[in-house]
Amino acid sequence: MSRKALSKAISVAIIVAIVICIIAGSAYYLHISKRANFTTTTSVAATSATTSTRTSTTTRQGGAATTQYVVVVDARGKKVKIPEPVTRVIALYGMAPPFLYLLGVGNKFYGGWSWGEDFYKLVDPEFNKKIGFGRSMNVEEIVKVRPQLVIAATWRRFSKMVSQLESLGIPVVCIKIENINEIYSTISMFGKIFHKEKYANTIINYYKSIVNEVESKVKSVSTKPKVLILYYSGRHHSLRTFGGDMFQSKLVELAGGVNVAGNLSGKKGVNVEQVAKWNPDIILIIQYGVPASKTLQLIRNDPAWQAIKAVKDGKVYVVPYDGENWIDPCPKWALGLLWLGKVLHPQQFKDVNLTEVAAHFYKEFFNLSLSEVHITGNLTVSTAKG
Amino acid sequence: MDKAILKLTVFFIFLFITSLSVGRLLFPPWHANALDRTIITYVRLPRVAAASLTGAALGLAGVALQNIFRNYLAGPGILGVTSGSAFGAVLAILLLPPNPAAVQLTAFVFGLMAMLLAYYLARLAGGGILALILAGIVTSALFSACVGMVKYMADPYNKLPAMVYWLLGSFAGTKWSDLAPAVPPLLIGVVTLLLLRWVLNVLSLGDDEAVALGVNVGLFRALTIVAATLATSASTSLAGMIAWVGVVSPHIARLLVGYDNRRLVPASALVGATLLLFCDDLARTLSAAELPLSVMTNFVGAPILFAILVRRRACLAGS
Repeated sequence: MSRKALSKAISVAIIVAIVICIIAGSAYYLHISKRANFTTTTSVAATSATTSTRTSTTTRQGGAATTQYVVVVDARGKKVKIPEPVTRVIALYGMAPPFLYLLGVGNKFYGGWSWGEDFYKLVDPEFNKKIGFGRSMNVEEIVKVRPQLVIAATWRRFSKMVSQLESLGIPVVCIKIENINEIYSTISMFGKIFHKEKYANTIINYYKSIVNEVESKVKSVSTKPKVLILYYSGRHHSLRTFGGDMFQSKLVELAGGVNVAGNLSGKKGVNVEQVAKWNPDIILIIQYGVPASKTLQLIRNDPAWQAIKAVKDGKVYVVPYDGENWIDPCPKWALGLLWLGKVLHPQQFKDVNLTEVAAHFYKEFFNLSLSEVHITGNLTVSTAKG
Repeated sequence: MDKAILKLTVFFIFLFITSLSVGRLLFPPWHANALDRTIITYVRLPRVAAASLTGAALGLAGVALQNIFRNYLAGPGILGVTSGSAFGAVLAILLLPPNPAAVQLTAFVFGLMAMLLAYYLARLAGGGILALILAGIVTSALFSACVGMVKYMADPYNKLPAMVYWLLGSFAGTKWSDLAPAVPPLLIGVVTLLLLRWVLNVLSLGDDEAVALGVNVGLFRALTIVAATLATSASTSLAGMIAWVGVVSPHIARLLVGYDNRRLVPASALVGATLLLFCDDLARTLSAAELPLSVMTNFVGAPILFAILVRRRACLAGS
């Protein structure tokens, strides 16, 4: 076959490909423009409805209402000006939407990425659709939605996207949720954005009362049990633990325990020999993707693990999980803290009825009864203890 | 000007313009509003320009290295430059404050180091094509191990995701300000290689013939290697690791214009630019989430290379 014929064949193939692209593109464009028209009309209707209730506070210029803004300082220390009312929020950072739902403004979460699928789909029937945008949303896709606000994290991975969105005039707040104070400041910032400052304070005070309770109870304890936090990572095919700089480890310390891996940083793989050297009194199992029952099985079926003190004493507990591990930096962390108290110091926390506290929490903040929430793990520890 | 190259140029320009008018936000370019114009000038144009330049640079680096080392399997990835650049970049992310220019500089320095190491190891191993390939594998493995070590030491929130993002390769979020620092080294590499295209013909003959023709082999070889490394590491620092484009583009170009480097070199640049631009278009338009660029280049590159190998065999058998 000659080169000429080949180049001819290639150019024919290229032309065919172009034609297909053009046809597909125009069909897609027609489809999109229909959908875009629909969303525009509905959002305009919604906007006019809200502005009419606010006419007393807005000045009118030539018939058009001047846009109101809410200004917040985000975790970067940057002042962000957000146009009101905020009705469409895109979350690039999966830790953000749970706190929107906590604040009762989950309906403003338009889409993006979020953790805790199994729980938040109970709160919001549209949740699964909303997180369909995936973890690395395309910038034009975001522009298409015309969000009033995009939520990202301060992490470096987001920086390119954040500066691009800002250059397009889309307000972006960056959050950071790595310790309790950052959770508080994130909640109060969200409170300010959605005009729910008072409710945000109620939530923060609720959290603070639990922290105070736990702190006063563990103040007097003399021995701090050694704790190993464990999860199975499907991606690494191994058991992993959390170092001292992680939120989960900080909660363990707050609840009067010592993280045996406190000297490590971040998430790290563990082997049984190192665990034997640490010899933890208590093992806490959490789960990401791979269920905790598998991790539990792995430990129970491995003779090497039987020599570990926690396994010998039957003190291997699965952290309550409803779609989110209670000890993760999620809205349920305070329940997790209380649970940790009960596990680490059962005597001091004898009077705490965790089931009652949890039932109250879910009813109060998510309007769900305990029977609707599917909680797995050792919620009631006292009976599980041998 | 050559007819095939002219065709390639026209096709590339066509694809360039098409790329500017497609995206997740579809609008007819002939009546674009202010937002649409912003999207074109500040989102699509820098990205399309970056993809084209990077593709051209990788295609050129590939064809230059294939000639220098007289091995059609050679490419920036195979000789360890990409792994070296990757190591330099993750090291910069780990140790230095956030600064794209620093990442780029270390990526370049380590890319050059990897290339020299591979070359030196090949010499130690006795020279020849096989020694070179093996030395490239050794260098790649060494730097990949170093990358793994650095990733292990990085914190899981801030630096590790930044590294992973970088290693996967992506043009997402490319702004004019990201493109600016990468353009000078890219352009220097691209222009140098384009100017050196006649030398490549001589160098590919082998040292003895080149010397007999009165060419300063050492100087031009060093110049070509530096230019190729400059182009590769600059593109790696702009978009992360991009597989296949550097190896595949020269092969496609060879089929279109033949083996004469005076035509092959510009054709490789055009094919590289077209190929990477096309892959990036797919990566940013196929779904609401960005697809990893390396996945796209593998999907597109691997079958093309295979088809070419089959065709080439048919050509050889037929002639």
